[in-house]
Amino acid sequence: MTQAMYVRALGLWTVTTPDLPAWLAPYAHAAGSSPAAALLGTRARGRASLLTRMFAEVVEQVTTGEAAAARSTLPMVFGSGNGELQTTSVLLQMMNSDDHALSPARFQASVHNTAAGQLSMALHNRGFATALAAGSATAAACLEEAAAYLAQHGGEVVVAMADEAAPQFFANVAPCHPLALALRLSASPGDAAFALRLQLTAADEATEADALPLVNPCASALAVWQALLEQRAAKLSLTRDWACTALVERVPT
Amino acid sequence: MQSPARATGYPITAYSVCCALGTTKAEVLASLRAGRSGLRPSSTLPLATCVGAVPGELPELGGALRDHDTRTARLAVAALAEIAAPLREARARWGAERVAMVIGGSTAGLATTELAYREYASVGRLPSWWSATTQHDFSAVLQVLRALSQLAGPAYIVSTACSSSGKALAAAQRLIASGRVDAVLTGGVDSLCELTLRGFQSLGILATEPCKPFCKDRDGISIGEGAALLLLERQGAAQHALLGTGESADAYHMTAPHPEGAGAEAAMRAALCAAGLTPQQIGHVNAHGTGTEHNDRAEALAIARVLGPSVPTLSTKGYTGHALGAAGAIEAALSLLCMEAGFLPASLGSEPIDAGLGIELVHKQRAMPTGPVLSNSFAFGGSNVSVILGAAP
Repeated sequence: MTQAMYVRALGLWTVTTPDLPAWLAPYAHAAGSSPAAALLGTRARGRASLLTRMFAEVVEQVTTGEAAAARSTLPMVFGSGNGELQTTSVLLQMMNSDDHALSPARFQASVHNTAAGQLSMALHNRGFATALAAGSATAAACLEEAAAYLAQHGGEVVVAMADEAAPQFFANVAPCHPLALALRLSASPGDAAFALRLQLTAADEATEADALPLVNPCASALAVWQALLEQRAAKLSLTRDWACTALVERVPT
Repeated sequence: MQSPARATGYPITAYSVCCALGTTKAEVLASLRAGRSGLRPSSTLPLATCVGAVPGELPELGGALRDHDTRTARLAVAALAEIAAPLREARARWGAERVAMVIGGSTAGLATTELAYREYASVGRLPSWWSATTQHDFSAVLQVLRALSQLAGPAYIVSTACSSSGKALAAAQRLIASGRVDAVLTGGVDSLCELTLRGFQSLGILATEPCKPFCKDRDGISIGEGAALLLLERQGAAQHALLGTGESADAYHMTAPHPEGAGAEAAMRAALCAAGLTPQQIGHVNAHGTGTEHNDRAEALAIARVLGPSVPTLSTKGYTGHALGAAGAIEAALSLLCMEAGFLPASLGSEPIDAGLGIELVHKQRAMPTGPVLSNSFAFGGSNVSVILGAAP
């Protein structure tokens, strides 16, 4: 079992739509038509993709109230199953136009670590940042990476996961409802009320978090988020790809 | 800069490489020794540039993996073949669930997606042969490697553009150090595709001739492709080890490096700290060395500040091209090959050297100096990683 990761803050954003799927209804309070993403600043926000703004929004939620100096040293783990799919789709369209010319601004914003780069600039953060992907196991991958980082370095880490709606070309085969969430985790308890551990064997009694409709690669993290929001202990299987059960535990007072 | 960590070196018990110089370690080493570049004018892509394409035909994926067939997957399978036997032994030694897989990459199945998109744009429907999940998706190559290796530990992709596989090595080291697993199959894979070539062209940094890192006449990048896999274990017989890694962010610009190389310097210092080494103990530097004016200048400034002006420095991009997300792993493998063979390859294309850079370029092949190699990878988003490889403790 990994060391405890103490939960310091939670962030969530999803899109408001008239046909918001029933499985997202409990989180409607965290929904909007567009993420505010104030962290990016006006100029960068105007140029940023929806996915990058979604990441910025939830990172802001878990770092709000922090002094700039503290924000500039927080290690950050970003996870996305599909990455900058909308931007990639636009580039494919451009490449198939008559002159085949790509927009350099779009190209540089198509990499999987676009949000990591944009937020490191916005926060003046020259520390650790990474960007991961593992299909429907993306949430599990992010928490594995966070656990390993905290075990080696201590301190805190922000874990942010997001996937945007798939553009038409990809939507035919990979539908995705927009969802972003973040957890701010620490190696020491401080005043945290709950902790997360990753159990390395499948727990028989674990609820399969990935039994949620798999319309977003990060969906399995939503069950962890829900347990923490409702302040209850839980055992949640995060992926079928490897033995990874998230134990949500109350911190003894 | 990340906080200092205790020095923890892990043996690299096996590795493989597949790049423009060949599909086996023996082929790659022979080309390095001969000073032979793998860069050629692109024959399939409609651009005036040289690319580092992996030579020869790569076998199609068949059977249960037929729907995963992409050039990226084929490159990964080619690299896996040379490491299959020691990987089986590691799986038996530690248990399948105690061996993780952390792979760096940036393009995933984009080359195949480009073909599918062209058909979609032409006839208005998706081709039946294409699947986003098994071909385009970042995780598709994990599915292939897991199926073939029967590993059952955590498996994920690090995708931070051109630092991806260097950072995959760092993540692998952390997973072992944390006690989560006992071994990690790590490395990187990326394939050539039109979108990345046109993207670098749009930025005005695509060289028309083979790239010339650190040359006074350098004019840009040559793009390459390939895969390299390294088996990192908690303990085991090995000539060389991953001694330390350091990661940082520039927090400066999405594509341009910090002009003074501040982020590069932070990554190198963090790697030295993690490895428990002094700058004087580094034998040579495998530079990121892409061949663009700004990248090479910023990196040279950082190298000179951290390691001094006389540490032998080379770039292998003149042999392989820039393999993007796979570059860090491929260059780790090239460094291991050369350390085992006892020579430093010439930094191809570096003459006439840009004397203003203030570093010691290896412009002619020479004997391998004593001491570990520090290898840099820097990326879009200001993502930096340095890895240090040396004799196993």
